[in-house]
Amino acid sequence: MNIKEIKNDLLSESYYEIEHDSGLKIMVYPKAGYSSTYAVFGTNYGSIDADGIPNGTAHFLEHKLFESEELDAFELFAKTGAQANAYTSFDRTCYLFNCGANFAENLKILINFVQHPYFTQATVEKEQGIIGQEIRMYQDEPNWQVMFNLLRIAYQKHPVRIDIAGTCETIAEITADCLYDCYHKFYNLSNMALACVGNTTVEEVLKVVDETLENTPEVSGELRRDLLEPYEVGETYIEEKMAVAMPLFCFGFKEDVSKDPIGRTSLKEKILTSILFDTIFGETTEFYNELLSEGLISPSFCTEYFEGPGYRMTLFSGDSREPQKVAEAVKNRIVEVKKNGLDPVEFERVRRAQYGRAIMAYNDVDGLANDLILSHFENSKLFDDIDIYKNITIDDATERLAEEFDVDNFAMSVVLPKE
Amino acid sequence: MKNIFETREIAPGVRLCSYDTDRFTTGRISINIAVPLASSTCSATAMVPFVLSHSCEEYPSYIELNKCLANLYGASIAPALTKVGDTQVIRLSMTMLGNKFALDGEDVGFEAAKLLFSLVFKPNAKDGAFATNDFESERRLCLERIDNDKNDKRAYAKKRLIEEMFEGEPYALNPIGDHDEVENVSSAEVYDVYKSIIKTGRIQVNVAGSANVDDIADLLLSYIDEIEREPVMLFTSVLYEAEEVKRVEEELPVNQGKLCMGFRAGIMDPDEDYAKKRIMTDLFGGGTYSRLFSVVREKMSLCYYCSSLFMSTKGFILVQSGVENKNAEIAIEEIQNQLKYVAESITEEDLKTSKRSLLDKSKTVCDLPETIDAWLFGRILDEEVETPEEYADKIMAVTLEEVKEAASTVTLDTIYLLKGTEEAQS
Repeated sequence: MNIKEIKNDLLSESYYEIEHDSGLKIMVYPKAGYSSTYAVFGTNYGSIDADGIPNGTAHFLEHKLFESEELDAFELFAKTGAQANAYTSFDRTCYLFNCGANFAENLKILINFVQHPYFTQATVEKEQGIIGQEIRMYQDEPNWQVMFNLLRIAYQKHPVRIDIAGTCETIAEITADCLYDCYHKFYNLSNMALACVGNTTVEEVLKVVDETLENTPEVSGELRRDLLEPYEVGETYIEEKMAVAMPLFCFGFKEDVSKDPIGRTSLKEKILTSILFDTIFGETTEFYNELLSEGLISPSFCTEYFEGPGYRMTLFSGDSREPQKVAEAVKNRIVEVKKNGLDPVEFERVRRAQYGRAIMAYNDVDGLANDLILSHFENSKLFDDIDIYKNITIDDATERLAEEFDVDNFAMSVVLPKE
Repeated sequence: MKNIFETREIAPGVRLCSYDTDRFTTGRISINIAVPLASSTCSATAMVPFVLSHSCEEYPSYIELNKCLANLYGASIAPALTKVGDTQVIRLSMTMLGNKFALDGEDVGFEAAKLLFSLVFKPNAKDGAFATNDFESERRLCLERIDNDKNDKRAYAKKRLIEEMFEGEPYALNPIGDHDEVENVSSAEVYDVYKSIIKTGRIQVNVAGSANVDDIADLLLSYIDEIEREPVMLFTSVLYEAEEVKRVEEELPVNQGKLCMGFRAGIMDPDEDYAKKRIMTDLFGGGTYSRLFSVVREKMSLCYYCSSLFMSTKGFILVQSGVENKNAEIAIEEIQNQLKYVAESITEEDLKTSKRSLLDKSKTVCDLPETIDAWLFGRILDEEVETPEEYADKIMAVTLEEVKEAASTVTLDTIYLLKGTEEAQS
């Protein structure tokens, strides 16, 4: 077992990376003076890993792991007072709890229930009812729909175009056997990570892990299949009518991933994109303030770098009476900035603001635990962001700008009010 | 003083609550002003926090203000409006970098306080009205906020239940304003309401994180001294029990219906009853061990969510669920059965479970500046600011008989059902 300390002088804090003999990667970030501890046990398996299985299986599995033959996980956490939850994203599934006491006991429960699947045909059928209602709830959420409609047209093959929870039809095909197959393939320890942040120590975590964790058979090779996706968007426009007061939009520019079809964006690339967003379209720009005073956007206008294994897209969303005009304005702005270059004053201001926000994020035990898991799956390190912000230059940003925002590879989704 | 809650009375009806600690990378400061909720002023009041948070005398445009925030290491300002009992609270909160991380040794916390107070007390106004350009833009955004609340069906159903259950009372008013009134209100009228708010409102400033609280208190006092303060008394009317059950149904083109049920909580003495009702509501539909989660969702598979919320400041309990039309009647019946179960059949073990969970949550309050601020905000109408420890002691003292009794005095008042008209499509 190898324990490595990752230190940050500015924060005067450290976290520890542990290569456990079982193959599990463990990260522990003790926070002095905190009462709460947050733990996340995650697997590098999400809705995009849907090769040959019904859509929505990863999410279904997340729901079902809380059950066991005897007491289910919720009943066990009720005995300790912790708040437990779980989530499934495109590329990972995570189980977590937050507690103000009894950390060791809670960690034991977490590891145990994730490592002991129990499915029967009857419990699978019961869950189809609950998840069916969850799916229908999301079908009524315009912000969700406007985004997923966009992914459906922008992506031609990549499974990011499929809803994370699947559909009522696809989840009806899920069986107990299919859940076991996926579980054994993706929930092996070398494909998983555990992060604990807050009122705990390396010793405490390792003691529980050593007593509780059960080894899993070794699985070799890349579990995630190549997610080959053409560069071009599939279609350029989609609209849906829903019970909303004014139109919602989500549009964006798809990027090239052919160099590394299941690779991830580097932290530096992500930070540069985030700086570009704010320097070109942010609240301190004339562009943003003009659109706001012309009545074209509201404070709901936001930008997002949507990226993961095999997908990268710069997104713009919000509500507007004239979504097309917003899209035109954004495209014109891109053409203008690519021609005239970035404003150095604006760049510096944004860099300083984002540097501050990066440090501010180190408060939050919940966010840090999830970031540790993500950074492990992405091969980056926590704390690296602070140094990147310190050293980044406008030349880096200009270089990045040339790779992004291809106005000819654009797709747009709109939700319109239903009469 | 470190790691304790402190309250300073700055002036009549003005207090500063703080929790001083250096363990965070951020600081948090908020100003909260409570005024009576009244139909004559509700819509104008609803515009105030947004108008104030977008410019001031020193930074007369939104872009200048945003540049100032960016230079202050990306500090942010969030305006908000809430209803706490029969009062309307306007709220501006700021999150900023902790002082020890400032590159040039600035007192970021104090700079943030200066900015926040100048937004609230020195607005961008001239000749008795807010600046015109800004105001028209704010009106548009306010109208969109009101119209867009239909987008979130769960929140919409809750709003509609409250309108029906408290018909004719101030509490039925939408704290974010009424469309027609906002459309017609003038900048001068909103400015008059603003003047009255800072003159009569109950003001609470919350500070969490490392900050020089003495300096912030002095600064606040210097602004308050310039106002001829006449603080109002704030009251909330609470109905002990329901008379007959009111039922309202509406249809919208959605896939999943929304069910909202409002129960009178049976409150005699708010201080005395709080802890019992809190536990009772938690066992009814709070955590995953609650009756609504474990029976209505898990066992009966009727919905993805079904939960209850104790609206302590108005003395009622709200149950929310997303159900299909065909299951609505079963859900309504079953929710009432589960309330009966809490009144009759819960055990000591259930009580322990709820206490453990509530205690656990109270222990984590002081781990984030935002949750400390939210804790203090929740006590804005209380004479004394209770600490999480004092709250935990009250929770621990509640007995099983008290919880059962607390459930037995809960009565169903209103059922609001939003029916989906598009179920057949999917």
